[in-house]
Amino acid sequence: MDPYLVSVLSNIGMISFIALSAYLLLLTGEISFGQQAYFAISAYGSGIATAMWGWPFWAGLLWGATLAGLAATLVAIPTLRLRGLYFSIATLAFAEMVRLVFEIFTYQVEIDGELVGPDGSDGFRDIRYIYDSNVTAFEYMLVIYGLLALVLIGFFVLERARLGSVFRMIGEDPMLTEMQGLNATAYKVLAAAMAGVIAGIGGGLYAHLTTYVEPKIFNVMLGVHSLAYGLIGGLGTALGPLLGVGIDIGFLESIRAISGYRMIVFGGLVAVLLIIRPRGILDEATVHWLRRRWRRWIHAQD
Amino acid sequence: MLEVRGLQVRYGKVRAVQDVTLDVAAGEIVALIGANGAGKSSTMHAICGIERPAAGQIRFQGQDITRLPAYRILRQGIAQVPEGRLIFGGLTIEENLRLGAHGAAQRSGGVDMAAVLELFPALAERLDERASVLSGGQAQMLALARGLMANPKLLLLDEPSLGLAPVAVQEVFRLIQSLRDRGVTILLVEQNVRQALSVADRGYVLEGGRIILEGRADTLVRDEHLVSAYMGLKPAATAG
Repeated sequence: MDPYLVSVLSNIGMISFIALSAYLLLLTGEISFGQQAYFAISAYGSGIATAMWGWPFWAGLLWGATLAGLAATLVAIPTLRLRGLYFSIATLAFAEMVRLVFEIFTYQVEIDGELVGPDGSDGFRDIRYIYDSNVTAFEYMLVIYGLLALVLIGFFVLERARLGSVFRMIGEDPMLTEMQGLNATAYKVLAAAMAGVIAGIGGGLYAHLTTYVEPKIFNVMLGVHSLAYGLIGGLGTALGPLLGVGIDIGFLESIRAISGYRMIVFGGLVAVLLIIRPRGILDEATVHWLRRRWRRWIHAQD
Repeated sequence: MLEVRGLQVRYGKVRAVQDVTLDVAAGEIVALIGANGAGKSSTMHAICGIERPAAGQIRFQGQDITRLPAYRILRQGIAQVPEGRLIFGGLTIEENLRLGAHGAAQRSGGVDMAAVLELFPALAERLDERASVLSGGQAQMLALARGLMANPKLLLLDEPSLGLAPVAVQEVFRLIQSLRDRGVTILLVEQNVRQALSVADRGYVLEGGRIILEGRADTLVRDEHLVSAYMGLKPAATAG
């Protein structure tokens, strides 16, 4: 497979995790500008585990995602009790705080005569586990998509389960949800924790693909994009944010003729879609319509 | 069953409910009537836990529920059908109903959806449609059905006829009538005083956040003050 294609597809896969993480919170009606924080925490956490502590890749990834989930829970508990903009502002503030902490966070150990580990604003080099294990870029791409498929299956199960309906109810009207006997705040904290883990998986995968992370990658633009993917692609299904990522990275960034104008086109696209389709291309009404058509078609075949 | 004592609800410095004391006995339909801003909805919100009372006490089946959060009050057996036919438009009709059953599921293992749907044949045919396609009257029916799915001991109905076409209003009151026959206890807030008193056993009249009148529904209907203040402008009253 063409190495360029592999790298674009790997990028799409990794960014899909953080897009899905923002999407999960959007379902519950919460706008987070800070999912990049959990992406970053897991990138550093899993990198430290494999490159410095000698942990195997899967253990490092699990550790990174767990750290991200814990951090997301800790941020959510005090902030989700508040209504309106407070959660959005708190997530943004937390993410910037995390980035600034990584700017000064230095923790290095000597391995084979070289210093390895995060070095403040110089970043964290030599997260080499994947390369040292002779995993090819193509194989690693399969790892990314394998995990993405698992997360997507999780989302499809969620959509059909009671929990998914509860998340959407809270997104529509948290007070009315409480009146159905459901503790909306507790469910929101659960959604935030799950979203943190999902972003964390993406971050861990990212660190091991690039072998190098630095704080400035995890700036607010990453968070804003993650949020925009769901809003462009649609909030009706977990495929929506993936469509958003595909449009942005797969189409706008990869077609070199327009790649220089990517941000302009992307910004325009968000603005236009928010006017004509406020809940994205694959919005709830479209998804519901498609599902009914599909069921009828299946019935017709019987 | 429900005892409200000296209830006070404030929004900042505004006292929406000054001093409300009322009782609802098991099996009763009690109407709470009053003009806009009299404090009817605020009283309801305080009972179901959306609004924290500034003072007073609310007891349900002998238990103090004054400061319980809304979701725990539902689990105690008080379901509210809020004003404005609030439904979850993005979910299907069936999802709306199933999630209403949550409170019942917490207590007793759920209610039979088929039994509830017997009262709502129009909804039964459209279970897999999105609730947002429903008309005003149907949406109110769904909100009522969802309330019943919680299998409540006490049902709070906040302005169930508000903004509905006359035919739909009739349907709502027919339904309330049939719920009474099934022994559901109901606290009903209404501006439609005549209709409310025609289904209720007893009524309380709220004005300026206080109860100014209470009594049996058939006595209240004949009360001069009430008739002139709330029914005087109704076509039915002027005609008669």
